[in-house]
Amino acid sequence: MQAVFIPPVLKGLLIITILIILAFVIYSSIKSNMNVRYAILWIVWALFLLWMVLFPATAYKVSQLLGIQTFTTFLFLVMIGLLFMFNYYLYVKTSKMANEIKRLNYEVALLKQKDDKEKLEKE
Amino acid sequence: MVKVLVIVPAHNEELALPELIPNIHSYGWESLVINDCSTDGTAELLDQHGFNHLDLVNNVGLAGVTQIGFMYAYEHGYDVAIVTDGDGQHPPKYISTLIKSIEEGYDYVVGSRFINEKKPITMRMIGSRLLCLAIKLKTGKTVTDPTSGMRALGSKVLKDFAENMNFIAEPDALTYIIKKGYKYKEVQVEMEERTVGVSYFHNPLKSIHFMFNVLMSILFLR
Repeated sequence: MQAVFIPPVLKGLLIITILIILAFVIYSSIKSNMNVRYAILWIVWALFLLWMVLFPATAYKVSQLLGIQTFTTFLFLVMIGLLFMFNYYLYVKTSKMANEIKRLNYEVALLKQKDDKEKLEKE
Repeated sequence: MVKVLVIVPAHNEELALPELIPNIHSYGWESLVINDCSTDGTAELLDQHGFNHLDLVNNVGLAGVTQIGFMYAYEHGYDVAIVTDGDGQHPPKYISTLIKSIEEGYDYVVGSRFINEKKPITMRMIGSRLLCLAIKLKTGKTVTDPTSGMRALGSKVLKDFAENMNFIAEPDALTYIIKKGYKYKEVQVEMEERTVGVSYFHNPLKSIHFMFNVLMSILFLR
């Protein structure tokens, strides 16, 4: 059995990168007023990456428990799966919002129509 | 006497509307023009002529516009809603034909060009045949003109569509109607070639994209 070994330089670089990502996510979520629920999701994402770099052995263990032969495959599977989930969630959200926009469009158009009619009556 | 609303979706139709709307009124029907963010003078024209209309704040596309029309008709107590293209393709004289079938108890009536007429062999009609085949596969029913935009909705369907309409276009709406067990009927109408303005489907790539989406919707989502 071979443990996962990340060379110290690479590990340092990865940790720094992830910390930058974490800082960026937190900073820009606050600045752009990102919905807290979404901001939390991305913070958890960055923490997850950090865990993978700091304790690769635990992630490796999980991949072994699942019976996945190589660790890389496990990583691809998990990452693609997660990204797919996020993306799908966005599709659901977007179509819900499109419906809401349609409804609002209708309500605004109704108000405009009422306004027009009142103006006509005054004239 | 049923209360009828003729819904006219309009996107840049300033040339066709001044003729079409009085034409509809001359048969005694009430109309509602829905201006989907036109960039030409449609909005001013509607105000000037005093046509009953809604001006949308942003562009929602044909499917969205028709649904907004159905919401309006439903919430304002109409029994029947008719959709007629804003470009004058659907002659208003056929509105009464559609309404007659609704009064006979049908829930959804489609104006079809090909009940008594033969379908020509053009790219567009090959697409139409493909849609007929898909609907036949899915529902077992034969339809003749699945893309026809000229439709009358009885009160049951009107309520349904106003509350939860989730279609790309007419063909999958028709499939939904058949699957749901509503009483539907096709009646023979004639349509005119578009004389002014630009169709939603002037771009072949867009047409292919549209066909693909509608087919997927019919086969998997209805």
